[in-house]
Order: sequence, then C-alpha cells, then structure tokens
Amino acid sequence: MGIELSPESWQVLIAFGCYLIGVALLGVFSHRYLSRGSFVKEYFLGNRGLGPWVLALTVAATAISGGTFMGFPSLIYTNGWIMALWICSYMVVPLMTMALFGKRINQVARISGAVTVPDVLRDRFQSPGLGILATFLILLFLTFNLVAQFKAGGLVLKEAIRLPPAEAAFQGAEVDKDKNLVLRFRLADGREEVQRTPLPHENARFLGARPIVHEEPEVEVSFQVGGRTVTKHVRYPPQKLTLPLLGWLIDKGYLIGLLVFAGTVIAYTTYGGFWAVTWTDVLEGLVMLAGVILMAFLAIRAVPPVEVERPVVSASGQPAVVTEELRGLAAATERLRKQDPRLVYGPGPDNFLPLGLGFSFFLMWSLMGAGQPSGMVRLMSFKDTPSLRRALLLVCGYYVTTYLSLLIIFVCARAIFPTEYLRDIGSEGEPDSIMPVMAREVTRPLTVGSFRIGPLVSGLLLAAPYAAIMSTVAAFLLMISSSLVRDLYQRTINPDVSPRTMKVISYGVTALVGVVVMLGALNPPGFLQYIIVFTGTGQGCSFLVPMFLGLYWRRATRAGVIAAMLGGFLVVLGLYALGWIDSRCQAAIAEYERKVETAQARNEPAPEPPALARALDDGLRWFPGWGEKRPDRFAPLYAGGLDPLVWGFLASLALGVGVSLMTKPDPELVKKYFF
Amino acid sequence: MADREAAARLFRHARREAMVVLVVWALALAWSVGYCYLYGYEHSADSWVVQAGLAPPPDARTFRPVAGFPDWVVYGIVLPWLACTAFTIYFALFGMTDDDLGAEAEEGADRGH
Repeated sequence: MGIELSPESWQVLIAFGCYLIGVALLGVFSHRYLSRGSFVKEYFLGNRGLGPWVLALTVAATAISGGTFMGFPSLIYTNGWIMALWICSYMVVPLMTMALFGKRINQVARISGAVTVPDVLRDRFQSPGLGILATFLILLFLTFNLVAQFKAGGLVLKEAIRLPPAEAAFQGAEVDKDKNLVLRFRLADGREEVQRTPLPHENARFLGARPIVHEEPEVEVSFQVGGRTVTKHVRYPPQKLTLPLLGWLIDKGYLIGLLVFAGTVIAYTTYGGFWAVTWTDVLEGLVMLAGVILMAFLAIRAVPPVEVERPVVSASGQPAVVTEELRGLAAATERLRKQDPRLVYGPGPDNFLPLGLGFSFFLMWSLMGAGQPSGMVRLMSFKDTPSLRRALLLVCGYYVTTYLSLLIIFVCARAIFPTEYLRDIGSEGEPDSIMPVMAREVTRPLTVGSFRIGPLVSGLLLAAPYAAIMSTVAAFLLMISSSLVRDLYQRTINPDVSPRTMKVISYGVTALVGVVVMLGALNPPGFLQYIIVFTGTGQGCSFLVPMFLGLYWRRATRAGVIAAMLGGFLVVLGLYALGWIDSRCQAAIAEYERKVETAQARNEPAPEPPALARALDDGLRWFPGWGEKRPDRFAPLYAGGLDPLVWGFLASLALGVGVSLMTKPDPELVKKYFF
Repeated sequence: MADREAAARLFRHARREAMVVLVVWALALAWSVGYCYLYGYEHSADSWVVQAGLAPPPDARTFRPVAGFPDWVVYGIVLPWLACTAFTIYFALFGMTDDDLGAEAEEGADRGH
C-alpha cells in the first residue's frame, strides 16, 4: 500500500520515530533482568525491586491513560472551568493510591510470596474460589478496556500521519431521521461512500453544502441555528483498504497507526516483561510531563489579548473607568466569560456537573484509583519503605503539574478556537480532536532561523498522549497475561508446571493476548468511552473494599470478601444495564408515539404498541433515575443523581462488613497475617 | 520472634497511616465540593443555601479572577490542591515511618501451591 505524506507529516513522524526507538531500546535492555532468580516473579513483578523513581513514574504513567489526553481535554474545551472540580480529587490520589495500601499490601504479598492481586486475596483467605473470581473480573474488565486503548493508540498515530483523503467526487448531502448529516461521495473506483456527522444542534436547519479546498479537500456545510448561520467543515472519506482473509474495509491511516502501536507495545511487553513495562513507563512519564509543561507555556502565549473596562476611583475621588489589557490565562478566562458565563461557573453548560455528580467524580478518581489492580501490583513490587515515601513525593508533584497544566491548556484552547471544535455550535471538527489540533496550532510559529520546527515539536507533543496510552496498555497486557498464566494455569490447573514451561507460556500468552486484542480493535464497537468508564468503575467497586478489609481488618472473612467483590460488581453492572434498558424503552415509546401521530395524520390504523417497553417502563418507574434524560443511550442510571460508583462502593462496603460479622474468620490466617 | 514484632509494628504503622489518609481525603472532599458548590455555582434567590446565608444571592455575585483563574477555582481547588501536595510532602518525609517489609516467602512464585 503506497503512502503519500506531506513534509509536515514526515517531521511529525520523525519525532514519533525517535520516541518509539527509545521505547524499543528500553524493552531490549529490560530483557537482561529476566535471567535473574525466579522467572515468574521477575517477569510479572520485577522481583520486588522497584526504586522510588521507577515506582513513582510507573504509578503515574499507568494511571494516566489515553482519556487523560483525549477525552479530558475535549471536556475542558466544551465545559470550561467546571472541569477543575470534575478532576480535583487528584489532589488526594497520590495518598489514596500509595499511602493507603502501599506498605501493607507489600508486606502481605511477601508473607505468602504472592505475585498477582488474585494471589494476595487467595492466600490471605486460603480460598481458590476467591482467587478465581478475582481473576475472572480482572480478565473481563481489562480485556474490554484494552480494546478501547488500542483503538485510541491507532487514532493518535492516524492523526500524526494525516494521510490525504481518498480521491472522490462530492455527490450531495441530506439529513437522516436520526438527525445526522449524511454526505455522499463517489470514489475513483466507482464505489459510493458516505460520511456521517451529527448536526451541530438538534434544532439546526440544513441550508446547503459545497466542496472547497482548505489544507485538503473538504465539504463546507451551512446550517441555521437559533437565527444564526453556522458552518461545519467535513473531511472527504479516508483512504480505505480491504483486509485479506477477513474482508473488512478499514481506514488505511487507522490501520497503519494500529499496527505500529500494537507491534511496538506487544513486542516490548512480551520481550521485557514487568521491567520493560516499568522502564518504558519512566520514559513515557517524562515525555508526558515535558509535553504538558511545554504545551501550557505555548498555549498561554498563543491566547490573543483582550481589553476590559474596570471601574476605579480617581485621585479626585470620582468614579472612573479604565481600560486594561489582559494577556495569557487572564485573557483566556475573560474570553470564556464573554462567550458564555456558564463556562466560568458551575454546573457548566447544559447542567454538565450538578452537585451529585461533582461529589461522585471526587469519589470516582480517588476511590477508583485506589481500587485498580494494576496500581496494586505496583505497590507489591517496591523494594523498601524509603522507596515508597520518595515515590509519593514525586507522584504528588507529577499530578499537580500535569492536571493543572491540562486545565490551563484547554481553557486557552477554548479562547483561541471559540466554536470551531464544539459539537453543539461547531464548524470544523469534533471536540475529541482538540488535543492534536492544539499541538499543531501552538507550535506553528516555532522556527530555528529559517527552518520551521513546529511540526517536529508538534510530533513530540503528540507523543505525550501516545505515551499515556502505551503505558496503560502495557500494564494491562501484563496483568491479563499474569492472570491467565499464574492465576489460572499455574495455581489452578497445573501447580507442578516446570519453570522452563512457565517461561515459554508467559511469553506466548502475553503475545497472544496482545494479538487477539489488536484484532478486536480492528473493528471496535462505537460506545467504547462508556466501556472504559464501566471497566474502571467496576474494578474500583470490586477490588477496593475486599483488599482494604483483607489487609486491615482481622474480622474480615472469606465469605465477606467474596460478597463485597460480587456486590460491588453486580451493583455497577446492574445500574449500567438498567440505563441501557431505560434508554431502549424510552426510544421505543417515543418511536411508537411518532408513528401514532403519522398514522392519525394519514387516517391509517394505529400501529402495534411496544408492549414490553411499556411494561418495563411502568414496572420500573419507581426506580430512582428511571426515565431521566441521559447524555447517551449507553450511559448508566444515575440513581439519586449519583454515579454507579457511589452505589457500588456502598454496596460492597455494606456486604463486606455485614457478611464478615455474620461469619467467623480462620484463627490460623488471622495469626499468620496479623501476628 | 523479632521478625514477628517487626511485622506487627509495620501493621500498626500502616493502619495509623491509612487512617490519616482517610481523614485528609474526607477533609479535601468536604472543602472542595462544598466551597465550589457554594461559591462556584449559581443559586436562585430562594434556594436554601442563599436563604441560610451560605451562598451569595445572584445579584450580589461578581466575577473576580485571581491570576487568571476564577476565584472559586483558586480557593476551592488550586489552594486545597497545593495544600494537599504540601501535606503529602510533609507526610512522606516525616509522617510515614520506615519499616522492615519482611522476608520473601520461599514457596509461591515458581510453584503453583
């Protein structure tokens, strides 16, 4: 497949290439460690040898994922300063993720020789059933999450490559019944291709469309929204190719991005194991930090100044008005206030963050962070308590710098591009693309002499989200592999397996899991953002309380911990399932009412009513949150205005404590783990 | 015997430190969400927070940026975040104790038992 790239794209790719070479070298370097001592402990846990720098950066890099650099920026851009409250629980995340469990989980893991999180729970309560349940939940959550992360990795590289669109002729545009704008194109080979994009507003009236050439061929579409005419630029269809054997038609840029991403991350994780994952985390963590600091500096400089009038009292005591020029962040905030006052106050545009959700999100990041098995494994792997204390120092500085920088960058982005990337008003693109757009925009003026270095720096900035996704993927890949190899095969199916066989199986399974997930990401479902949130919430609610009770409470029992794990998981799953059912019911009822109106207007017989949807709607109307408007059909039920995490966590805690009090702990285990 | 005493000591220290962490978490939650709700959200004149004198009525509120941030972001989020960071540094340097994590169990890693 031929690839034609612009000189700018080549510079971006050179910057990416340098980064990928660094990652590959670290993977090779890490492999040398695997010949020391126990292979399993070295491959999956780094032989409990993490020092402060590696521990700090691996904890931070694993927690910061693609969402931090793609979804979070688009939310800041769309909703303004209220996102500071949405993310602010990261102020306590270092304490919650490291100081809450750190010492104790490391001690308990050493007592039994545990290598994985299911190992710790299984040994602490002498319960293979608990170990298998924990393994099953980890496999379930992480596999879905990995597909989404792989997709994000492919999309970032696709944006960096920016292949030109397919050769096509614009045929026309129309609005379909789902309020999507559908643009039709005729490709060079005669096939017809459509591009679908949401209307800029649900009440927008389509005025017309015409092909133009901006930086590349585009279609300019005009709308009437609330008395104003707005335009939206839609790209021509991407170049596509058919996959041999599978027969799927896939975007060529995405496929190249996915293959490069998957190839790199699977290779270094498989070859170097835990040490490769943590050492590359160090590089990725530093790339992210440097990226956000540089970008914040450039973004503040890029905000156009704004003049404001300020009332003062003159020297003679008379009230007067002076004009003041604001620059940088002050100018950005003032521009946001002038665009829409809701961007500088809560709950934000469209009631984005009411009090209940603000409270829920504080709990979400802090509790979910503490309850992630991928974070717990890192706490099992540090070498001594001074390493933990020093790592805590580094992580708190890392988070405050990263998140405050991201807030500043994308508040500035909203000031620089007031409407261009908004879904509701918008013209050029979608909010998710604001990160790569800002990377290109703020670096555009950079030169060294007469040579433009903007694209090169832009490539380095784009490497930051790529690094974030890569570090999360590598950690999850190794978690899944360890669950299959250690928890299922070695501890459940074949306890007497030889170390040599374990070595072969570990390499093979890690690579195989990566390839399977990559195949899943070739054609991923479209509602992945909710899968990511569901898997994160589910892990937090399934593992936080069981681990806390197991580590700190003598009275905790096997039955109590299993109840806590299942309770947290099922409540979260149930609220997501109810949300989906509610959306389906409301949609079916709305569709029926629309058909009835049409039938009455045409004097036709009334259609068949949706009996199941009606019955469910009548039967579940009492449930808090049922029937309320939600942002998407895959959004969960926000019972009492709170996120499912809050209810899942409360159910897990109540069941864990209640069932433990009703049963008796094993005195031998209490003696072994509580001395 | 000495090993068991060291292990028990670590447990006591870890439990005390976990309690401190939970107290800081609860204080941060109460301050940030509470302050931002009272001073960063718009409340109608007849809402209970305005009636109770906890939040300013709509006609009394003015937009006051501090160093480019809205004032409620500074007092409700930036300053508490810096305070939590300062506490975390203090806690890591002086609050947490160094303990012996104990020896690695012989059984386990290379065998499935």
